[in-house]
Amino acid sequence: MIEYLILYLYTSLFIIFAIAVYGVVVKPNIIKKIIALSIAGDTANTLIIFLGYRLIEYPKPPVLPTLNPSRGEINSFVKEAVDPIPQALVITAIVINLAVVAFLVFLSIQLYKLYGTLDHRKILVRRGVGSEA
Amino acid sequence: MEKLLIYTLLLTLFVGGIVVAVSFNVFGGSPSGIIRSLALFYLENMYNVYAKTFWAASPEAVNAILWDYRGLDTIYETTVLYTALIGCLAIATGLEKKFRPKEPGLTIIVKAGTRIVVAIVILVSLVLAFRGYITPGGGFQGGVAFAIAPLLLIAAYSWRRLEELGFRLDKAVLLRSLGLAAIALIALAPYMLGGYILQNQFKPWIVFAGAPYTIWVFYIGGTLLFLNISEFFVVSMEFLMIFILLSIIYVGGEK
Repeated sequence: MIEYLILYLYTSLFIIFAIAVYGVVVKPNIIKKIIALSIAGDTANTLIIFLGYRLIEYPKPPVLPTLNPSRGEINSFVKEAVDPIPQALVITAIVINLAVVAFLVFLSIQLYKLYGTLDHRKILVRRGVGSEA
Repeated sequence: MEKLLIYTLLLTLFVGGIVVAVSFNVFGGSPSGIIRSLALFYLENMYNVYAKTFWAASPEAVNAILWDYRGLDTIYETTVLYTALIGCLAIATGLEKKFRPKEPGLTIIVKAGTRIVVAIVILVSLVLAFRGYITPGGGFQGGVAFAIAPLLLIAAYSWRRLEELGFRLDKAVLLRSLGLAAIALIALAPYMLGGYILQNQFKPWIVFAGAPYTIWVFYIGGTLLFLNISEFFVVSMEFLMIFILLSIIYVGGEK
């Protein structure tokens, strides 16, 4: 059962990632490219968190529930808690992803000011580089 | 069109191959009952009150890693955030701004709902930031949660209302800079006192006595509380700046 669930999660994550890659490559609108890019980033973050999961019956979050733990509590916590390193990685990755998306949005506003459109084919035409396909 | 079909098929095959490879654990690292030894080290030592050599004085593993064990990484990530924001500001100065008159906003139902939700969001973000060293949360999480409040206010009222409430651009820049200065100060203070940069607790092989982890009856986890608060101000004010700038830039219609 649990193997089936893991396979299901991997499959759905990679399908979402493929859709995001498709959006970045194929969609002509730059805003849609940015949306697809942020979906790709979120998929990668989910995958990283999932890799830190601990495959035991009742895993615990990596937070000690007491300020005065006994030795036994610390030992059982070490045996049951999930991996905290991916979570620490991902929380900064999310914030930086947001900041980068904001930067891309400002860049696309500037593009819109300059060319009056966000379609990258039309931008090429208006620059005099490409031709209207 | 045929080209697109070929691309799609190739992508599907690629994804299918990766799924099969990962689920049969070709790359390694798929979840199992045993976690990495580094994670075991963190889990065992972060709040080990019986052997304090490597402890971080925080019962929350993510915060202990973020601000104690891997503190320099977090500083550099804050730098990346800062640089992205400087880029946004640099682009925004060249764009035309349009200060619209006060707008009526959405209906009274939406406004009443927004008032309640904004109050709850701000409260939750403060709790996340100020208790991040004990319970799940921290400066980054609290800051991102806080960023929702101005966004909701802009959507339901207008940015004028935001300005009336005191969320102003110059204030946000000031608070952001104060937060960054506080992080730098807390990072460098142990170095001035004879320890390592960003050192939190006492280590037997260096002079620095370690930050106090309790003040009176309150447990503060050494420098973690102050780093979390500073990071909260940095992240929340940077996103407030982004949202205010996005709402006052004049874009115009399609040419």
